[in-house]
Amino acid sequence: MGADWEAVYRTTFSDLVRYLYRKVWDAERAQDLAQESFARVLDRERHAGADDEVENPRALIFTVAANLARDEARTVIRRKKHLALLKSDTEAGGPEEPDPVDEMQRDAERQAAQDALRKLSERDREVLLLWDAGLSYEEIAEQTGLAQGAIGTTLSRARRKLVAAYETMEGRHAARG
Amino acid sequence: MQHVDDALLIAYADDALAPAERGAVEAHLVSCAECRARVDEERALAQRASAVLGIGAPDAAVVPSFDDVLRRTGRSDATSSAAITTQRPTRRSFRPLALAATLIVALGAGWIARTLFLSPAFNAPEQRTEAAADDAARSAARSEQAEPGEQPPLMPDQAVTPGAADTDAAPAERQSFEALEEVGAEADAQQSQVAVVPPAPSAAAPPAADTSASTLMRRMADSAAGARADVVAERVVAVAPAPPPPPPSAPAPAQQKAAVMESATAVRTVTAPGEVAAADAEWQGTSAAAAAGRGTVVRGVPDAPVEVVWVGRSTAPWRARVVQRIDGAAVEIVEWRALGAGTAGSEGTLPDGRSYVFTTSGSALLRLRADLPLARLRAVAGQIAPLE
Repeated sequence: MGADWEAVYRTTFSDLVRYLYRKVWDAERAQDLAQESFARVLDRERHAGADDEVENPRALIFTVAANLARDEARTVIRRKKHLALLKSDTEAGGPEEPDPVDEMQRDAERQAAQDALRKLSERDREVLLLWDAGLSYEEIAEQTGLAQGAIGTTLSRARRKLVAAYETMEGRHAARG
Repeated sequence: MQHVDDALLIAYADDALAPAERGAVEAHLVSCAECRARVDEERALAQRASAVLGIGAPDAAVVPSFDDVLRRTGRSDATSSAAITTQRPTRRSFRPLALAATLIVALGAGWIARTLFLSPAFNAPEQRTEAAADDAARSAARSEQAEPGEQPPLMPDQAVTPGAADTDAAPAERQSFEALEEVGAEADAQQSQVAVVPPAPSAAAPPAADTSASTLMRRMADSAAGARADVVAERVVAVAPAPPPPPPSAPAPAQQKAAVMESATAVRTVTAPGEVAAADAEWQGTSAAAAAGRGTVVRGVPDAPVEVVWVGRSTAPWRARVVQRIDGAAVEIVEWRALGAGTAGSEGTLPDGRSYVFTTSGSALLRLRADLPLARLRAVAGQIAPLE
């Protein structure tokens, strides 16, 4: 008997989209890939037979999603980040016209966040993103191949670097205007 | 003094330690301000990093229908998720933790009926049962697409139908559920449910807030791996109390709250998920007896109605906080761990007009605050005793 995939979907979808967003930097694409990840896992499940029980459905979803995102990066030409970010903002935005000054400020912040994240090593970034998506130390260790005892210090270091880089960059971007 | 290894402190700050290790760290933290500061620092850092990671992230509130996913898998009959779960011929053995996790989600989103349907009890090849499960899944899926605030249709009826197909798996589930109900009933009535899919916030609200609620609940469930279902439920209640909803209730807006004691005279209620996770409160409920059951005897005025009880973390400067209704006013009674938070006998009036009185009861140092005349509050202070 397999896991209750709809329940996993409900509880994990938002986190998965967020996780993917920070890999593909496109809200629509992230949502698309998130659904695709679930679809692939369900397909695999169906063919695996009734005996195979998925130990940790959530971790599996993230693994599949990470692979999809990596493939995506290789084959798809990314749109200009700027445009993609603006697009995702209008999708989620409110009814009023956004204040242009506000818009620029938000833009600067987003760019800074993106750049700051890129400053991290791939391993540190992955650990941080998985933690932010709700995985436990054990799950993160399993996914990344790191020792469970190293997760905490890796996380702390990644957080520090991210926040420091962000604060530096936000200043620069905002100044540029 | 020997300090705790930084890696352990970080794991503790992240709520990633197993109970045994956690207890050991907490024991050290009681008497080590330096390590406590490190834990606070890490929590604040984690919060800040989460905030940065949330910038510009997609709106988390809108989860597309599961049917969309099913359609992608290339199934011709992709309209019912029940079709997937009910086609397995073998019955899954009862797994308390998985069920508890499902029930925790269920409590939050009013999915109790759904959980009952997807239990092994309904994998019987019986036509009627499958059809009923099918309908429930469809209506549940439909209700998820409904606007927040709409009542999920048919849920109460569907909840009643499966009673007929009772199996040996059902009593065990009911037992866990009862444990959850019992714990949930003790939760603060003012706390609202934690919704798994919160309603869409305004564009200005950080998306980080929405995902963290479910994230937090999952982390609580994870770190209690191996624990019994009712213990897991209790821990979840500790941070996100959810009274068991009546079946027809719609998912309410998410609003976790926790108490943070900023000083001897200031309490702050926090609602941001990151802050709630880091709050000084370890447990909150509405019954002194429940607190006592958890090992903390709280003090207050016997026989006066108790509105809320908070139990502080071992790292918080306070041990317990009780609010009771006396003479029509909300009287707050805080028990401090260490002296220096105020001297017994000290009393006065705050700028907002409330009276405060410091007193001792047995070995406990207490501060009372209420919108009552000072003389009255002083008299109340004289009545403080351990509550059962």
